[in-house]
Amino acid sequence: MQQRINHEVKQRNCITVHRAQGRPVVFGHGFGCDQLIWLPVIDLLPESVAPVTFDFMGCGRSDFSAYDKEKYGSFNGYVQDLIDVIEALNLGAIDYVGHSVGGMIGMLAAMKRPDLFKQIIAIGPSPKYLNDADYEGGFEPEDIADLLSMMKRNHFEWAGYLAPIVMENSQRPELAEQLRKSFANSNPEISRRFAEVLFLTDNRAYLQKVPVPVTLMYCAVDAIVPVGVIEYMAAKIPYSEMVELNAAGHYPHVSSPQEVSQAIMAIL
Amino acid sequence: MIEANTWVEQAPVGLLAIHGDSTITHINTMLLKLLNYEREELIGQPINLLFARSGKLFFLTHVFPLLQHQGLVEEMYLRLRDRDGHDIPVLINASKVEDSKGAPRFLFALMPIQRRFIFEDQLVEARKEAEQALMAQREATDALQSAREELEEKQAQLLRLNEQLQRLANTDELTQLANRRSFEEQLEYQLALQKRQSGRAGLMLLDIDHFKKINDMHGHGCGDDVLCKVGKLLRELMREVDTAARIGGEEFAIILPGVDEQGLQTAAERIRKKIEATRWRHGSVTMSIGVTMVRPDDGREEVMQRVDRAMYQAKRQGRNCVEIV
Repeated sequence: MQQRINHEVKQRNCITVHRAQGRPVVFGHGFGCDQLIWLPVIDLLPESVAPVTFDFMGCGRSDFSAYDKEKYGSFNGYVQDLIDVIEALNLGAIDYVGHSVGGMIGMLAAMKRPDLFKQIIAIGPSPKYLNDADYEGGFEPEDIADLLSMMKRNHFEWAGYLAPIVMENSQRPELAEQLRKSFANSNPEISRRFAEVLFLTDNRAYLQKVPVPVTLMYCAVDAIVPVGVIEYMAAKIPYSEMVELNAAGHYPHVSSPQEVSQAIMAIL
Repeated sequence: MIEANTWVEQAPVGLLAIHGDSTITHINTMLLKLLNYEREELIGQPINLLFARSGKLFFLTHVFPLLQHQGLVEEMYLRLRDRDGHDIPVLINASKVEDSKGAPRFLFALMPIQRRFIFEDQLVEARKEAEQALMAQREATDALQSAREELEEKQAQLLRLNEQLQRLANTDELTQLANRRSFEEQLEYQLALQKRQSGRAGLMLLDIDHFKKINDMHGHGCGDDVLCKVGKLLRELMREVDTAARIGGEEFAIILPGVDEQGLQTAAERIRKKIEATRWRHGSVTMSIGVTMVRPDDGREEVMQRVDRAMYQAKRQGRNCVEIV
């Protein structure tokens, strides 16, 4: 039974175990990406670390057919999936590295199952992206509405209708495979709903209940998450530490994998 | 000949190159014009400067990861923000290249799509409207269909009710034989048929002997039972084509199409014997039966008078017998 569940979770979230021996570290990607985003960092980790990556529902090579509107209509579905993934590994408590929303999902999962987490390293996380009277999340509601409409327009009939035609008629067959990959990379409908969930949810109240140590890794200049948000989180999370990276942007693990892998090893 | 640089600068498409860290390294005149910037205001600045917050979010969560992963973005719609804060919808193609030191650079071609943007909006709107119209049409069709089904059901009900009414109007309730009205109709019909086809038909008039006595001695309930049972016996003895009716209190009549005189008498005798042989609760019952053949020039009154005469002859003969006129 357990084996079967493990198998289902492995397929659903496309779990990849990069090394059999070593200290298990699970990496959770952020919105708009999939597990491949971690490859540059993982390549630089020493052999003492056994990295595990996976895809959140609707991203990468996750099983879109397992998508359930209700389950994934809030953070809960994604949180449960992360718990399932770590349980499926059957390695006990692990170190978790989560980028952006992947970091927030990790903290919420640790609240439910502290036994599965040694610690969390969250890169550029945010408990709330919208501005409030006394909180600067970085965005106004209309920004999110604009984002959703932009996503809609870009996925206008693409995935379902145009993609196969584009591929068929492509004058550059070498691109067809890449195109296919990019279309397969995320399900637009699921992505849009995920965007609604993550950009419109307020998780601030949970921060003080996070029961495991959290390292907040951030770039001084992050186009998505203002430094103020990181400071806010550090103040609320009981066991937290801020680590500033020299890299800029929201994807330091891509732009500066060296620095990020070193920072992770320093914490481990 | 135009110079290579002029060609790039003046090409009617916005061109932009950024570093791996997303700072702008090159931008052509066309794009500067579109965004209303001076070159020195943008070189060395992060590309985010060209987006509103939502555009920045989309760029960072959708365009940039795709570019880094696959080195290619095609036909992506994005909104830029010019120096004065106006939104400029563009379509972008972008690709990843490596500079001489192997560091990643990203090249962008940006095509303003103001008109296409509006057109697309209209397309989306039109499609939405078409879908709504289709939905409304489906709903209307469904409603029509269910209304039709309801109507058909009502009609069927009405038809059943009508049949029931018809049956009630033509039937004698007590005996379940035809009633007088229906009998007269049938008789007219047979007479008409005789005239046209010069076929044969017999008519029989049957009267229960001493019925008043049965009523008086045993009560009306018993009299009704006798009527009812006579009705049942007549129904059993008749052919499909015959019409048996109760046309008065204890008076019955039967139209027998296609019989000759012999057959008519035999049939009457059979009925008489059957009635006589039947066991009745209160004692015995007999019937006096008059028969006559329908003649080609008969009217209803004439044939009825004749069969009446025959029946009274049977009564005078001492009842429980068949007489023919």
